[in-house]
Amino acid sequence: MLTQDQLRRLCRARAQLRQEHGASDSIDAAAETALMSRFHFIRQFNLVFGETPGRFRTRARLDRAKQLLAEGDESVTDVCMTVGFSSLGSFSSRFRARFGCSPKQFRQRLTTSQRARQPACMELLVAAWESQAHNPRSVVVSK
Amino acid sequence: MKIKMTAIPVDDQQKALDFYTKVLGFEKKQDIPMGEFRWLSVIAPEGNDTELSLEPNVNPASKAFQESLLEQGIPMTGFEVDDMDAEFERLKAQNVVFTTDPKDAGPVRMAVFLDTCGNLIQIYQHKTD
Repeated sequence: MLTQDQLRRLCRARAQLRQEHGASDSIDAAAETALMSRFHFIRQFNLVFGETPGRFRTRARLDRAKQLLAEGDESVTDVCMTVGFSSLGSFSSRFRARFGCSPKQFRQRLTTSQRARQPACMELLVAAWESQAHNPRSVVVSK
Repeated sequence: MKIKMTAIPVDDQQKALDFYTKVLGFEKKQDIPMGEFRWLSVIAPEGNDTELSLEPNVNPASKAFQESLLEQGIPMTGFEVDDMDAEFERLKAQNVVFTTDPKDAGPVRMAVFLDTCGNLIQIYQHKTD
């Protein structure tokens, strides 16, 4: 069983990892915050949050990159370095895998189309219904 | 009015779908791609037709709320079970992490576990005297 104290420390380590995603030693630093050995931290983090600290950090880097691309005017290469990727190739391929387009395409789309609202709650369902309006049968809603 | 749908915020929808179907044993009900996200819901197999939407937790307000609840150890969602001890053993065997092992609480037996998507889930069984 995980104690409340251990859970709180893991939460803080996760928050720290999200903040300091750029640093290459951020996983060691987060393990320290959690008061665990690196090995134990990685194992516990994976059990509690469903992914390794490394995977979580990659997601945090991609989220930050997306935000920088949307809000700033740093070049794609600068954004890649800023968020902590060392290779433009792996940055682009991971960005594409996550968001469905390359960082460059993402920025181009933003300048040409209205920014999508962040979906939440029933708004997403309404959008799903609207997107399926031409084919209502494909939406299965329990009655 | 009827209560037919409720939602839980999740930090990653695919991870959530895996946990809620493969580990907890719910069934996928709706899955409609919406760009980066999906309209995704699950349903209990034993005939309860209230849908649970696995909602992408991207709204900063919702994110802050979820993280704060987790850090305080507070579950916001609960599921009823028929046999607490059997469920506890079943979930433990799949490496689910509990923050409260099964215990008596008035008319119920309850336990709390992590859903790997940023939430604490309470399960409870009504005692039959």
